[in-house]
Amino acid sequence: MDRFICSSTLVHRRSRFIILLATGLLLAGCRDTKITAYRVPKEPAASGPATAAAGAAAIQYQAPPGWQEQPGDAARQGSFLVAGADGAKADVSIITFPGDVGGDLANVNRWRNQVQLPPIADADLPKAVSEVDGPAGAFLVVDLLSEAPLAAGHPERILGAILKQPAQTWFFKMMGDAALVEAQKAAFLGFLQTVQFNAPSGPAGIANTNDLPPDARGLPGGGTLPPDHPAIGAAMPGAGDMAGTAVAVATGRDLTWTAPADWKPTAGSAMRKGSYAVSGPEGTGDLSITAFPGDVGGNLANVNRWRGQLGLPPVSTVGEAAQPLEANGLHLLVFDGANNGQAILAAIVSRPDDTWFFKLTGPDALVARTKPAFLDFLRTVKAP
Amino acid sequence: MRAFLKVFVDYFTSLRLTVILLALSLLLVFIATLDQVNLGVWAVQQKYFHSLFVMARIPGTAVAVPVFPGGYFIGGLLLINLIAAHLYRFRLEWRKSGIWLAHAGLILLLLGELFTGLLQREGMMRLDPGTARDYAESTLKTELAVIDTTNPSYDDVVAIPEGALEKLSTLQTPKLPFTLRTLAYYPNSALVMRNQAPNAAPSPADRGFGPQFVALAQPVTYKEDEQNFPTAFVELNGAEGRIGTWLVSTLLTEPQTFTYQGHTWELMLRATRYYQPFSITLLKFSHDVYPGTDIPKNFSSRVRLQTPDGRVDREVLIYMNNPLRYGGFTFYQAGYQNDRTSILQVVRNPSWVIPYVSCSLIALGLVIQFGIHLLGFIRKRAAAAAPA
Repeated sequence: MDRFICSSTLVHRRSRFIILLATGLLLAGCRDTKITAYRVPKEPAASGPATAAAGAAAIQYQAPPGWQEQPGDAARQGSFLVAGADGAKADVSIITFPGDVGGDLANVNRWRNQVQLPPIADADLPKAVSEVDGPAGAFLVVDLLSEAPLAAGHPERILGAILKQPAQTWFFKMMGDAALVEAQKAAFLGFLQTVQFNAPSGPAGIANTNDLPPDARGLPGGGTLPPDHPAIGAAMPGAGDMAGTAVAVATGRDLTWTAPADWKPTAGSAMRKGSYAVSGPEGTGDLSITAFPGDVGGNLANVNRWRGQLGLPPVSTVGEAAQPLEANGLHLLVFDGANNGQAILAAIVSRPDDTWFFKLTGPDALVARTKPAFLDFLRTVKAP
Repeated sequence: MRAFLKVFVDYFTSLRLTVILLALSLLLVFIATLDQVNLGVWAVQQKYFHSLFVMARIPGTAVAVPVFPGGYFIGGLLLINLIAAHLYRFRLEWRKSGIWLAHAGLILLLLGELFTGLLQREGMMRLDPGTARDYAESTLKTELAVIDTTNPSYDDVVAIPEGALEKLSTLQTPKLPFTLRTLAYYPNSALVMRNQAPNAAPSPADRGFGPQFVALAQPVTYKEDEQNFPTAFVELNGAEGRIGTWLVSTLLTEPQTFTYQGHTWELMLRATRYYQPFSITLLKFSHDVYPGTDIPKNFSSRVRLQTPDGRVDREVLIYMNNPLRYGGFTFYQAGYQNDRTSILQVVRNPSWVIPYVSCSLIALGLVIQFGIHLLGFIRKRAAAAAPA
């Protein structure tokens, strides 16, 4: 009898447990793990990167024999591997950036840094470069040899050529084993003579982004300004192959932000915390991020300074020219002004100790189209 | 079997269970309210209420164990308890019709909450003037879109929700000619350029943008003004072997393309899209302020509503507190980005009417029940007061 009671109680308890468990499972909240498939009409082709690439002047060149074409990456307009004896190698890259990328001195010093040579002063620049004329224009050529063996265990050499165009700068660089690069110098200079540019093919040349090679998808190509467009933008040494990446996740020393993929990080100056080229069919804009201690004269003074830059009369209250925006607990003041085809879209972030400026300058049409993206970008600005 | 049924009935009809469940729900609401400080409203909803169990990690491990019954569990049991009590304990009689009605309302309310939790979809639609959209984007959920873009007129999309990605398993669907294996999944992440992180481990990705970046896992944020940026490494394997490994991230705003078996494919981790069978085109966004001030007076969006078959093609004005309801979707004027871009909140909740019905039923039930009692009381008083 006792045994019967015991087992009955056990059955009872177990049943309760099973009931609870079964009910629980029945009521399980559906975690969304279901894969769905559907067909949608194509969205209109993305503007921006594709058209920007299509609108760029197309480069043509003839590579010397022995240069093996490489797939390269999104930033490069051309990439070659030059192989020598005993496994010696050199890499040839062709890269372009909008603007003057900080000027000749900054660019030469950037290359000097890559072969661990100390920077030179402006006065020494004429001695460090030679000018080579070619069908494409005048190239500034530098030949830099590392003083000590570098990572590869042997001295490295850079043969670099800079070609400045009104709206963009082209960089042709051979870097590798010092002996091999020296042996290739004649070939490199001969290669520069083959460089030519076609007229921009125009946005109509590309129907949609799928027509671009995969690696170039979504990535601004080379020169994104029309050839007659005034140069905009500046650059910071060391940007190098960073440009043309799919996204720029920037971390300033203090504030942080995330820039859209199609904004190319450019180099800035020592003053800049961040610098981007914003390109579109309308041209290229320059986005600078700077920070200064204090309130820099106050919001009204800054707003009127920007209005002055555009040739607009000053306003008497900030509210006439700027709107507040809240982002991640930060109070931003967004200024938007345009005149004579040029526009400034900027934000002031006033903080207790310093003031940050996010300023986009460029053609009116470009800035107007970029405004939603710029405001989205501002919303990514965070204080640590 | 009969014994089992009796156990079942006894258990679920007991008032003790009701009291325990109500006490547990009180406790759940209390703890969840406190935890809002850490997690914010949405995450608390998911963790405490839209879950079977409240899970917690064993310190020092990644193992999560249930520590408390969740909202679905308590609510579900309450529902069963209530229904079972009515079936087995309560008698259907006029005197108790009010209680029946009120309880029916309560049952409906519980069901409504369950349906809302399971079926409600909420997203944002961002519209520039002249832009037409037929989908809203979730602000909280992400999906990996694997898109066959070969056909020039349409895209075949396979959308894999983050819930499937984070299991780190191999996913296979007849819609894809390859399998997809998640090698790593970070619910929140940052990407840094590889040349800025020289000591980083080699990237598992060998295709697309991945090799250029180092993905850094970040703590998940629950703050309402912050956003998580999920990143995953996915490996694609076809019949002939491995195709490649890609880094996908919501930080990458452009899709990555590859070709396989003559088809062009795109990979993109993006905000989950909720498509609707009609399109909305923004004609004009207006942002009015009170004269002489910056104080917003009204936001409104004049939109064009169109169905693909052309049967519906009309203009609608959406403004604050005056949403557009169409086809089971509700479009609220949620915000704006400048004086041009309108942001509409798009909500689809097939069970939105249930709370109204259930509250009406409860109210009606209570009125009837108290009315019956009141009448009985008045009769009793009248009878007592009547001269013998």
